[in-house]
Amino acid sequence: MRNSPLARFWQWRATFFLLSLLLLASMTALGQEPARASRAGVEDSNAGGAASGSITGRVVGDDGRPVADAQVFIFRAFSNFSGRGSVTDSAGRFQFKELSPGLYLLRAGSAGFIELPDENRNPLEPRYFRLGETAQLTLVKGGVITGTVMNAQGEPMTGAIVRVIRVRDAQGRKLTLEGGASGAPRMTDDRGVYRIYGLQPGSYIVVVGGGNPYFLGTMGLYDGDTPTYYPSSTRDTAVEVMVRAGDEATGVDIRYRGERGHTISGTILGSATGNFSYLGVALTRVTTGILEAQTYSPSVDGKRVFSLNGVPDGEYEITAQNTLEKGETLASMPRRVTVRGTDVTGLELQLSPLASISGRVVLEPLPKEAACVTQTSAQLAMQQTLVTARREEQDKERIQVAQFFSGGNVPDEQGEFSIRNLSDGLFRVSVRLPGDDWYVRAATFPTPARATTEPARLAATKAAPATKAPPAPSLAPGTVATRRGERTSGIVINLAQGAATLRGRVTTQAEGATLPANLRVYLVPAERERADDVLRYAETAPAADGSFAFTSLAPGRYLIAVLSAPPPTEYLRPPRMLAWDEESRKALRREAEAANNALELKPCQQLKDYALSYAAK
Amino acid sequence: MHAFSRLLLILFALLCFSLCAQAEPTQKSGTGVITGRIMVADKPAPGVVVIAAPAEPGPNRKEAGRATTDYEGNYRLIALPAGRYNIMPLAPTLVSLSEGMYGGVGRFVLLGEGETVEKIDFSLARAGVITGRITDADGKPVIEERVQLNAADNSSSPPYGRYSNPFMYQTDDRGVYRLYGIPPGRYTLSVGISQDEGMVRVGAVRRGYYQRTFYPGETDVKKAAIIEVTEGSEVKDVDIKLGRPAQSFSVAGRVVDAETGQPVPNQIIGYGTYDAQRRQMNGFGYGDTRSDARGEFRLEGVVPGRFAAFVWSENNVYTDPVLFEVTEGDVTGLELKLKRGASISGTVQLEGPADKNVLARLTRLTLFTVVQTKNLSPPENRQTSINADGSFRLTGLPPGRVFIHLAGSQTTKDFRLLRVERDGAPQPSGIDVAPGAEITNVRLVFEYGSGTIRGQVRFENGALPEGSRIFVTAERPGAGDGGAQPVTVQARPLAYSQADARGRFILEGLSAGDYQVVVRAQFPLSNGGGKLVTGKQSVTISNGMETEITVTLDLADKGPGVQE
Repeated sequence: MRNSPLARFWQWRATFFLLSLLLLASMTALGQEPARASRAGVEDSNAGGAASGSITGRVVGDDGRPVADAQVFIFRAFSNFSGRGSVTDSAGRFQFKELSPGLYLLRAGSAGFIELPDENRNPLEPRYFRLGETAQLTLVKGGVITGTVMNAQGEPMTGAIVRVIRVRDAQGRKLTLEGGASGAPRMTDDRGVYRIYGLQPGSYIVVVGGGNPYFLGTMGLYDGDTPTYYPSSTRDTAVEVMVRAGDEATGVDIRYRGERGHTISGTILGSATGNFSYLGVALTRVTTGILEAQTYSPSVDGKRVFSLNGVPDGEYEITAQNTLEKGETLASMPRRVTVRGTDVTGLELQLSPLASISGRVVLEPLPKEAACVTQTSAQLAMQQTLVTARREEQDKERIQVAQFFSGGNVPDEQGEFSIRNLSDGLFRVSVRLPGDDWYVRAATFPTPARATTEPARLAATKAAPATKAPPAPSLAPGTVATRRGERTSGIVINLAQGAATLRGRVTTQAEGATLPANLRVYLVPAERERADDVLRYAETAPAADGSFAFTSLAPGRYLIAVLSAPPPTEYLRPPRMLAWDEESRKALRREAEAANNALELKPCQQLKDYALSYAAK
Repeated sequence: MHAFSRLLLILFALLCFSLCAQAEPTQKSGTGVITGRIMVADKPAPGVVVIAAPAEPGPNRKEAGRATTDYEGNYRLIALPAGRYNIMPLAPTLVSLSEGMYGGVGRFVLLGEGETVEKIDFSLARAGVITGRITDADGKPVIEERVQLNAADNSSSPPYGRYSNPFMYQTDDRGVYRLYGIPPGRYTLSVGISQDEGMVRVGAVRRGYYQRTFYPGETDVKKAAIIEVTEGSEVKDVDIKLGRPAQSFSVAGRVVDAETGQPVPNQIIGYGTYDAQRRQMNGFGYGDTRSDARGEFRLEGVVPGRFAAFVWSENNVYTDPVLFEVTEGDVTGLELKLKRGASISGTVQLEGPADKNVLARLTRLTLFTVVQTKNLSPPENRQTSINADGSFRLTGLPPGRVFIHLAGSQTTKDFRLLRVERDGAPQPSGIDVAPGAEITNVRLVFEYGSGTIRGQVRFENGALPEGSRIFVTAERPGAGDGGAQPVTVQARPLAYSQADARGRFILEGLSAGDYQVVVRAQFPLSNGGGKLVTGKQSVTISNGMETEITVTLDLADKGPGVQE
């Protein structure tokens, strides 16, 4: 009974979401962060090299009591580290030792139980842990959806594969593929009954049959049919099922439509000749970007073929992806496919390298004698820095499949970073700072004239046809326009020590009045010349009692204002700063100048108890 | 046509060719037909779906056709291209009583172009259901615990059909399990780990584990209650109340370099169950346990049993697995000595006429090794492929007798490893490898076969009853297959196949020479046992050609009875 190394962990955001039977017993539904895994043995703990450390913590239930025998997994952000697992002791404690410096992600799991995310965090912004930190993770019983699947005659159907797709979070925000997660697919039993448990709270659509089997060893009985959505619908008219943690949604009965779908098939060109970890194809609907079907590509007579079955009529985009051993990925340009009454054959998907963004982080530490310097050495600071790139949604209506839409990299000893496997588009580059005493002093981006074009990795690939229009000539500050097969280099990010912090409270003018919800505190640089220096803007949400905190602030003069936050978005999106867009930045500045609360922060200053008065308009 | 409009037409065609996708029928359809009848409990069964699935597992898992039985239980699969099919009813709640003994679902049919094959009938019975709940000593549900169904008289589990539900044998979030599609019979049900078998658990394993407990709550197999499943029955409340979970233990040790004695960090540690009688390792596994900076490691979650620990590496090193036994406490002090492996390298040669396409396919072959060592050998992980220049290299080998094998695969079954030579001399008893030796000048001689035998089994003195299976092999008369195997291993057939319901078969990938085709028919007897009847026929094969033969099977032959 051979097991492959634990935590062979697939990028959860990727359209190619594979469920392996081998992982069934050991791991619950995947969490949130794309830590790339590779074969064990590439590199792991630095085996006792410089400054290794531990991360410890506790797992508790929703009643606060410790949970023993819970599984905890740790992954290193954006690295080839294949992850480790551990189990909590009788006091609910866990410990990971001999970790090399870096930023880590933790996930707790237990059969039927889910980790409840922190309510105050945006789930799309992962919580990173540094060495020496302690975590508290909460496990609660997951939600359940159960019901019966019947055919048109009302007879129960056995062996039908049922799966759920999360479309809203617990707050009712719509999810893109990025935020959605599916519970493990299940088969109906002899009474036609299915039961899917261990679900995150939110709203789901339930789907039977169709697409490609997730059980890759056994064939599904109803493969080749188009999927039927609860209650007896197509995707567009599917009814959402709401589930809370620990709750059961029963009677989610589905009347199967049983329409034969069509097949989309073809070959993939340009795949790697050596070992690779994944080669497959995904099909998404053009209107919603939601994944419709996906499959592996096996080799037949030396060619890489694919076949997607059970596809209903509609307009789709198809993309092939080849993930190589060290995490390098090739992909084909998304291609439109229309299915209308017949199979579609003979497609040829040409793989080509993706884009990358690279540059350098320059640390400007203060001498050790300076006031607010912590013990962090320059080397350690670099290892706890993260540079990320995230694609800006150009088309606000269509929610993209989050394929190749973000990435990150920890700079090496010289500060060089390289974020690979990015699609075409406009990306915002952000930095995760190594500590509260550091701030971004400057960030220089190359002009749109790009650096060298990276030569195509494989022989015999013709240049992928550019189907997107060239990017707008003036890019928003902090953004990069990428093109496939090309590397944008020359970004320089200067991090300086000596940041200031600001803590305070928002108060109301009237005595005893309560603060409205959805407020946000904004810092705007006071000097007119810095009006477009996005790095100097900051914003944060105050807690229920009005308290707020800003860290990693550049020393200087600021205006502070408290305003209503922008209305919540329909979709769950990564957090976005008001200052990023020119229009809202100008409007924010006007409000801040009108309020005229000025303050000055000196290097290393820790300003506390700042009272900020909120006046309702 | 005007030159200009022709140009437009060509441009349009080119444009369409690159942008449009052609709409064609996906499967080549044929004109073959397969028909039959499905009966359940001796009554015709309407509404049962039957499919023609490809007989060999392979990338094209898609079915070639499906049909549904009419009110008389008859089905008709049409428009089938010639090929090898497994005809199967898709009915998870029906089971085949007669085929249960030999496992597998469906019947093999070798269909020629435009042929009609009739009477591919199935006699099925309604399967039963066993359901219940597993709780712990506090009455709380035990979630995602594996449930094992055992036949009451022996320890084999019921057949696991192609369309079975893999999640069935596991409790849900309420501790409830439901097994359906169970053939009528007598069973016991258990949960947990048996002390005798030992079990390797790797990864983030829980500390507690349940000892094997039979319904209704007995750890002694002799006291296990019998569950009787009859046709179409549902046996409910098959609940097991478990005792407190037992504590697993940790096993600690360190990895040192055998020569220098220095600790070796960052090595993956694995372990496997040790079979003392056969002196070999059975199952094994490895997770993410590694030796730390001081070379020390600690395996967690180990249940009582006899095991052997080793280092899993893809480098040119190996360890002699170290035996240990877990009874009532943690184990410490294991020392794994990392030794430098031996290597075997050389070239590959193809005998007989071969074009460059065949030579190019050599790189798709995978070689693996079996090593006979004095002590317990490390688990097999040494395999390699053949390089484009015809060279190969195997590393990390322990000392002993090394046998090189060709890994079998559907796409390379026409290749055969004839013999292994060292410095020009054949090595039928394996290559003697000294510790850390570098053995070069080894030649692997392959043959490639493109000959085919197409045959028909002729039955004398009777007809084959339902539920029979016929296996056909092509063997070289005399000793095994040229000495690439150790002498103690029985001669492996050079090609094998099933014969279909009408006795037709094809054997492929054979190279020129003399063969003996052996047909073995197994069929059930009314008393519950089975009988084996054999027939033989000699034949000479040429490359690239198809040879037809007939093999006679005398059903009155009092062959050796086989009790299953």
